[in-house]
Amino acid sequence: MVFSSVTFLFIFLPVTAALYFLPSVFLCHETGIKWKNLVLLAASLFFYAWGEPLYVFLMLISITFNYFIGLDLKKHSDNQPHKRFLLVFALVFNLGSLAFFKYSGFIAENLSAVFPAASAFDAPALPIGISFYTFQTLSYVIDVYNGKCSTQTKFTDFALYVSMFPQLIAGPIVQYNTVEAQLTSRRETLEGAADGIRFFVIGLAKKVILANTAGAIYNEVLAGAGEKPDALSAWLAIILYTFQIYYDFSGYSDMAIGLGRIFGFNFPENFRYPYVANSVTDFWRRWHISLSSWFRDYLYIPLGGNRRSIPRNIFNLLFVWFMTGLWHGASWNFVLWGMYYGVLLLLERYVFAKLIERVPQFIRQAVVFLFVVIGWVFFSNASTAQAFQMLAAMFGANGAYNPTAMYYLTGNLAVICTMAVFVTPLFRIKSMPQKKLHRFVLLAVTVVLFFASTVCLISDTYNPFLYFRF
Amino acid sequence: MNEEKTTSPERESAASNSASQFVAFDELMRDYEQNHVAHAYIPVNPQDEYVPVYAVEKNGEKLLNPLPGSSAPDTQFEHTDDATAAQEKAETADTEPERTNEASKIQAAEPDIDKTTAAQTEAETADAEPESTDETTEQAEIGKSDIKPKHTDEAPVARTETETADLEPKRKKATAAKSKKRSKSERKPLNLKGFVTVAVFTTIIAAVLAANIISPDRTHSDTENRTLASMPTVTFSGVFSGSFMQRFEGHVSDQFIFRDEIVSLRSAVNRILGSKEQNGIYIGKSGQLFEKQEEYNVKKLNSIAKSINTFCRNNPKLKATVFVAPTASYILRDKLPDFVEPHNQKKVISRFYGRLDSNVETLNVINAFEKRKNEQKLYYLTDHHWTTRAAKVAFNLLAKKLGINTDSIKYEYHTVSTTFSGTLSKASGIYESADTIEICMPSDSKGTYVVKNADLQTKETSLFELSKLETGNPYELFCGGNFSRLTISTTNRNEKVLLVFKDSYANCLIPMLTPYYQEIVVIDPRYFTDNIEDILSSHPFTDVLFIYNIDTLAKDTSLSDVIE
Repeated sequence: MVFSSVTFLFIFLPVTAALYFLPSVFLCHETGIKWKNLVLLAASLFFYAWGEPLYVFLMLISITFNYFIGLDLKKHSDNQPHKRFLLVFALVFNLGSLAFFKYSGFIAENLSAVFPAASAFDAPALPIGISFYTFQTLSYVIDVYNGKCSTQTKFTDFALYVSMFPQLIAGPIVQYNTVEAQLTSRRETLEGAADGIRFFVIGLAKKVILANTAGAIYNEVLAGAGEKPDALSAWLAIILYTFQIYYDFSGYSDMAIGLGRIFGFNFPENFRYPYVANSVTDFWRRWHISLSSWFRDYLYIPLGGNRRSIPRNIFNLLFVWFMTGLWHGASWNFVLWGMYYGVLLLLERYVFAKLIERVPQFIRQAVVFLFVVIGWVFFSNASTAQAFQMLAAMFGANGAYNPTAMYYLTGNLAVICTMAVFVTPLFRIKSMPQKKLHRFVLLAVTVVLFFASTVCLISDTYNPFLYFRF
Repeated sequence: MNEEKTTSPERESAASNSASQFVAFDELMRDYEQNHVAHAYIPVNPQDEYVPVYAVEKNGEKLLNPLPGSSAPDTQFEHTDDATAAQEKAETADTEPERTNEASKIQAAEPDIDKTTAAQTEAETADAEPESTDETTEQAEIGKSDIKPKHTDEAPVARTETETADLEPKRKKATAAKSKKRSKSERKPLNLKGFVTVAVFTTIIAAVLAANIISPDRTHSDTENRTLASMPTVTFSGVFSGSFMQRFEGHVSDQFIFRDEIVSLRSAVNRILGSKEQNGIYIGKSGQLFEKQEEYNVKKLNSIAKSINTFCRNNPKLKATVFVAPTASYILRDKLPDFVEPHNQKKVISRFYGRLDSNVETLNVINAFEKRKNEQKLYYLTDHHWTTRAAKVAFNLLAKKLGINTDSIKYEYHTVSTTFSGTLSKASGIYESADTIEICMPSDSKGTYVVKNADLQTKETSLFELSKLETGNPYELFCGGNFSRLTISTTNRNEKVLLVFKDSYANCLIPMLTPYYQEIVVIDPRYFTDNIEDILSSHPFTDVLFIYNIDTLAKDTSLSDVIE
C-alpha cells in the first residue's frame, strides 16, 4: 500500500488511528502503550502485506534474525570475539539478503559477459522497502555492538521498529538509537497530531499534486520530443524530472514524518530544501539526510573518514559514493550518478575550496543547482549511453528549439512556476502563527490541499473505455 | 590534520556516546568542511532555524537523562511567556530557538520545583528566566563551536540536578509548574492546541469513509462508458498473488463518492492552469477537441498500398476506387492549440495515392474541404468523426469517381440529436460543447433496401438505428455501429454490385450509396475473420471501394490481412 492512495487515506488510516487511540479515549494512558504498539505493529504488517503478500515473511525472518542477534550480543557483552562474530554474521546475513533480492539480477547480468551461463539466472522481484529496512536493522545491530544503544528485548517492539508503516517503504531511515526511547514511552498529543496532519497533508500534496503532475509532463515532453530531443525539450524534461524526484521523495518523507508524529514518534527530518544548497556538500546535507547520515555513520566514519591520509580520504569518499549510488538501484547508471557526486565533492574539497568561498551566494546556488540537474540525467536514464545522448541533446546536439517543446512549456508554465517556488523555503512555515486569523488560514490551506490531493488521486484513475479506433 | 589527530580519541568517544543524530550530523559537516571552511559548523542558512525536533529531545536526553514521554512535537510551536526572553536571546544567537527553548524550559522548570512549593509568585517566575537564558546561550554556543566537548563538560552538571529525584513524578511536576506559570487562574493542564485541526480532519475523513460505505455501489459509469469495479471476493490465491488488493483498490476509487464530479473538477482546474490537453486529447480553440497525433508510419502505409495493388491485380474485373479522408487535426489545424504542429496529411495522402497502381481511382477531398471548412461544420467538436455534411461533400466528389449519376436523386437531412458528446469528450472528460448529429439519406429511400448483418444475424430495413442515440456511443446510429459484414440488397436491378472496405468514417456515407447499386457488401476488416475469397465468389461484384480516414489507415493492420 502507498500513502498516496484512496484506500490508505480513507480506510486504512482512519481504522488504524481509531484502534490506536482507543486507550486515549478511555483515558488509560498508562497501560495503553502495549495496546498501541501492538495495533501499530499489526497495522504495519498488514500495510506491508497489502503490497507484498509473500515478502512480508522475508521481512519477518529478517526481524526475527536481528532480534536474536541483539539478544545474543547482550548475553555475550563481555565476550568481544563472540560479539565480533555475531556482528559479522549479522552483516553477512542482512547484506546477503539485500544483495540477493536487490542485486542478484544486476550481478548476473554483468557476470554473463564473462560466464554466459549467468544470463540464465532468474532474478527475484525486488521486495518493497528492503533497502530501507535492511539499513535500519543494520543500524540496530551495529549500535548494539558498539554499545550505543541497548538491546531491545521485547520482540514486538523490535518488530515495530523495523516494520513501522510510516517509514517502512521509503524512509526516512530511522536509526534505532533515535527512536529507542519512543518505542516504550511517547506521548501523543493533540498538538503533535495537528502538526503531524499538517506535515502529512503537505507531503501528500507534494507527491500527488506536484510530483505526479511533473512526472506526467516529463513523460509527455520526452514522448513529444521523439528520438532526438531538441535542447529546449531536453532541458524542460530534466527540470521536470528534477522537480518530480524531489517532490516525490520529500513528499513521501513528509508523509512519513507526519504519520509518525500523529502516533507520537519523532522521525528525523529527511529533506531540507536541497535545491537551494550553496555547495555540493551542502546539497547532501539537505537531500535524503537520513541516508547520507547512515552512510556517514556506518561506512564513512568506520572507514576512517578524513582522519587518515588524504589519499585514504579520497578513497573513502569515492567508495562511499559508489555505495550510495548503488544503493539507489541495481544499475550502472546509479553507480555513475553516485561517483559523479563523489568526484564533485572531492573537487569541491581539494581543488576549488578557496575559489568557492569568494563566489557570491546566489551564483553558488545556481551552479550547484545546475550540477544537481545534470546529476539527474544519469539518474533518470536507464543506460549510460542514453544519459550521454540526453546530455548532448541538452547542449544542442539536435538543435535548440522545437514547437512541441514550446507547447509543453506554455501549457504547463503555471505548474512549473509553482514547482519552482516551492522548492525554495520562501513559503516555509517556521512556526505555528500567533494570530488566530493566520492559524485559521493555515488550517484552511491544509484542508484545501487535502481536498485537492484527493481530487488528483481520484481523477488519476479516470479510465474511460473508448471505441477509439472505430 | 595535526590538530585533528590529537582530538580524535575524545571525539570518537563523544561520537559513540552521543545518541543524537543531530550531533553526529554536525560531525559530517565538519568532516566535509573543516579543510576549507573557516567556521566548521555554521548552519548553512543562518536564518534556517528549521531543525528536526528529535535533536532537541536527544540533546535534552543527553544533558538531562531521559525524561520519559518528553516528546517534542507538543511543544514545538510553543511560545509561552517564560520562554520569550530566552527565545529572543536564542534568535540573536543565530541558532535554533525552538529547540533550545524547549530544552532550556525543561531545565529551567526543574530547579523551580525543587526550590519552591505549589504557591508561585511573579518573582519566582522571573527568577526562572535568567536561568533559562543562560542555558540558551550556552546551547547556542554549543551550536556554534565544537559540540562534543561541551556536552561532556556539561552533562555532569545537568545530571546532578535530575538524578536526585525519580523521573516520572518530576515530569508531572514540571508540567504542572509550567501550566501554572502560563496562567495562574487556569488550574487545568489540559492542552487543546491543535484541537481544531485534528477535529476538522477527523471529521472529514470519517465523513468520507461513512459516505463511501453508505452510498450504494454503481455498476456502470456513463461518463467513462465502462463497468465499474465491484467489491472483489477474498480468495486465498487472490490475496497471495496480490490481485485481490489491486482489485480492492480499483473498487474503492471506482466507487468513490462524487467520482464524476471530482474528475470534471480536475479537468477544469487543469485548464485554468493553462493545460491544453487532457488524457491525450488536445483542447483546441472554440471548443474543438482533437485526437493527439502520432507520426504516420510511412512504411506501413506503403505496405497497405501494395496490398491494395495486389488485390486489384488479382481481381481485374472490379473497378477500384480508394478514398482516404483527412481528419480534423489537419483540416481544422487553425484550431489546434498554439505550438502544436499538424502532420501534413495532404502530403501523406498524396504519397499514399502515388504508391497505388494507375488504374486505381483515387479521390482527394482536401481542397474541397479547405474551401468549405468555414461555411460548414465538417467535423464534430467532441468526436473524432467527420460530420454527415462532410461525408456528403465527399460523396458528391466520390460519385464522379465511381461513375454514378446523382442528378436524379435528391437528398434530405434530418437532425436526430443536438446533445451529442462524442469519443473525444469521453476521453478527455470535457463536456462543454455539444454536437448536432444529422443524417443524410436519399429521398424516398424508405423500403428500398434490406440490410443483413452477418454478426447479429439480423435483417433491418434501415441503415439508421436511432435507438443508439440513447447509448454511450450515439455515432453507432450510422449502420448500427461497426460490424464485420453488412449486406445491403436494394430494389435496383442495374447489375451493379459494390464491395466496400471501410472504417467508421464510411458509416454515415454508406446510406447515400443505396440508390445506385443492386447490392452493397460492406466489410470492416478489423472484425472480418471469414475468407474474402468466399465473399468474392458468392457475389457478382462490379466495383470495389476503400474508404478510410488517414489516421485509421495508417495504424490499421487488418486490411492487408483480409485482402491478401
